[in-house]
Amino acid sequence: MASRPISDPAADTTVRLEGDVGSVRLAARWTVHQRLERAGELERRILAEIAGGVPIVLDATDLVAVDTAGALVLSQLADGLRQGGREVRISGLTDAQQSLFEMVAAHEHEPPAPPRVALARERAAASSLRVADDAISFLSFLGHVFVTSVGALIRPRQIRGRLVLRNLQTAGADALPIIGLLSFLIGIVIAYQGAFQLHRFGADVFIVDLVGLSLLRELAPLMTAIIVAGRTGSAYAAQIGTMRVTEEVDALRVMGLSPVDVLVRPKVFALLIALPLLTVFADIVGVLGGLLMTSVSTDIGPTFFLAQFPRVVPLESFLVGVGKAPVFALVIASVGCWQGFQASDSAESVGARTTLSVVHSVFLIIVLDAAFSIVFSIVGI
Amino acid sequence: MNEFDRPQADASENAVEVRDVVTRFGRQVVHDGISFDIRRGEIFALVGGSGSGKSTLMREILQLERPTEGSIRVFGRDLQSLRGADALALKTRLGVLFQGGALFGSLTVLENIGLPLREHTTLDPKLIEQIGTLKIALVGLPPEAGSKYPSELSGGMIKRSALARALALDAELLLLDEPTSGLDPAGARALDRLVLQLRRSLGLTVLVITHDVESIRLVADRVGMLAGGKLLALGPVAELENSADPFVRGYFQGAAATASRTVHPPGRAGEPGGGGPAIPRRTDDLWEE
Ligand SMILES: Nc1ncnc2c1ncn2[C@@H]1O[C@H](COP(=O)(O)OP(=O)(O)O)[C@@H](O)[C@H]1O
Ligand SMILES: [Mg+2]
Repeated sequence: MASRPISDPAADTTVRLEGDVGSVRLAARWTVHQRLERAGELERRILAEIAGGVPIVLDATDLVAVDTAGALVLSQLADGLRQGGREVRISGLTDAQQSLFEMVAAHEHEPPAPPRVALARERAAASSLRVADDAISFLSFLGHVFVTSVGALIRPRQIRGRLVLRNLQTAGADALPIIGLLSFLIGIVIAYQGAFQLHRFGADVFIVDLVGLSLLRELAPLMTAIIVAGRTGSAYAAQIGTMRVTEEVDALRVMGLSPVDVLVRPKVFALLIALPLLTVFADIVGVLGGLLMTSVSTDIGPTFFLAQFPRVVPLESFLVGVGKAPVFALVIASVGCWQGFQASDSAESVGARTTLSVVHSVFLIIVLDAAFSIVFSIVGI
Repeated sequence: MNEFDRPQADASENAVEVRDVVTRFGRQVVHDGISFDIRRGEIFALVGGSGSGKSTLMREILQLERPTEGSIRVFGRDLQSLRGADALALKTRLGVLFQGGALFGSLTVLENIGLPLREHTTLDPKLIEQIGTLKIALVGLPPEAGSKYPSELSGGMIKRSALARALALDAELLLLDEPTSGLDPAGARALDRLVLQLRRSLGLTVLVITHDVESIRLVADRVGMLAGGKLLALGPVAELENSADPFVRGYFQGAAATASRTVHPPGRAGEPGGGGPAIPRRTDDLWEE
């Protein structure tokens, strides 16, 4: 025990030659809380002091405490000494100790080989295969969700309205404060940095264009999606992953309920509604932040800002921004849910899958956003 | 011999003393004044219907929860005032089998058993592995089970592995929450024999929560029955079976009747005693019906 000094039973054991018998008087305590790992030294000492072939008696008269570990170590000691055909006896055991030694002897085995760890080359091959497998698996998952969702839209009774509403609350309404705060701050930062740079060109009025266009087209939808991926996508992965580990997913399937119906589709629908609304909210609050900072740091007042805004920021910019949101929503919900289903049977894998869900959805969101920019510039929106 | 190495002197001859324990969860009263002792070297069975507060009482003995009122002493130490190193030292004298096993999913069975040994002793890794392998054999698992992860085990194998972990430090007080549930009758009896053997060889004290009447008859020195928040009966099995209280008597008769009906279902194989191969699970079509 940590709080007590640890004794070394091997050192406390005395080894003597008595007549033509080697006598080993065992120390009093042989339990896991002593230094049983020193038994090898005792064996070497005995072998050094008592010539080969001389019979040995392990004298347990002083032995007051021995547990299974101690009995194991002492049996191994006896076995080690027996090598070479020497006669070894353990004497002086109480009945209880005797039965313990018998029990241990009856159950001694070599430890099994540890689970095989794959070689680096195999791991590399397996991981590149896995990437391909994962991609195919994810796409087929996406397809499955998409097809059943369309089916549910045709037969609206299949939409689990209550689950959708509950998800709207947690993924949408509950996210308002954090998204509001962050977009307000982003609006302030852009206005401040922009005003400073534009002033050097005497182009102060363009601050309205800068704040409006950058927020509505890019920053508000992108930032909202990233926050929601961290907040909600990870929660989806953790929830479904835990349900996998506790066999709740299996229970659903056995009851004839499709995990997609119950676990995935309500989340997808909820996020398809929530994310565009959150984006609009981020647009408004972000622009308010920009307006505030503009009036504070430049000569442009709120009235001019608001009058100028509809003239320089076309409706398309707003629609382009909000239009990206459902795509991001689909990415976040499906990546989160899919990762959850990939969790195997340990708490560790739930953690790993939750991390991956955020990393992958943020990655996909940014890639898709870049793709949108390219497409929009080609079609000239 | 080092004087610190003597068994820690406890004034008390009881391993556990439960005094007037009251436990409430909100307005639900789970224990309503419970007192009893578990003597050293005794195998004490705690019985009662589901939700009668058996597991909760065990968690209180383990210092995982505190009773709302009353006191619990373990090896003479009052849990209420126990802190820090003393609380830890007491914990290393207890071995626990949780109802659901509670094996660590990221460790193999052998590593699970080795964990308390690695943390609380100076033993070297090789010896720890050998001790773990011995415990695996003791609980009736094949040696290969040691290199499996919990997710690759059947329910009964999880129970046995968790018991092996509970035995890792050769604890003085062993707390078993439904050890035989999920085991086939033969496995359950083997486990009973193991508990008796351990008590004989190591002199340990056992608190066992169980619904298995046959197991109680085989191993228990005394039985405590929880019902309605009270300790309804306390005494040797034979005494409770012939109790004047029809409820207490009925528990054993009723349980025996149910047991004989459910324990040997025709044509249903019990838990395989060995380590069958883990059933590979496909993960790619999980979302399909
Ligand atoms: N953490 C908790 N919070 C609220 N109620 C609990 C908690 N733990 C247990 N209970 C309640 O206490 C009662 C006893 O539970 P438990 O001790 O697990 O019963 P059992 O005798 O079946 O092991 C049950 O009704 C359970 O719902
Ligand atoms: Mg219980």
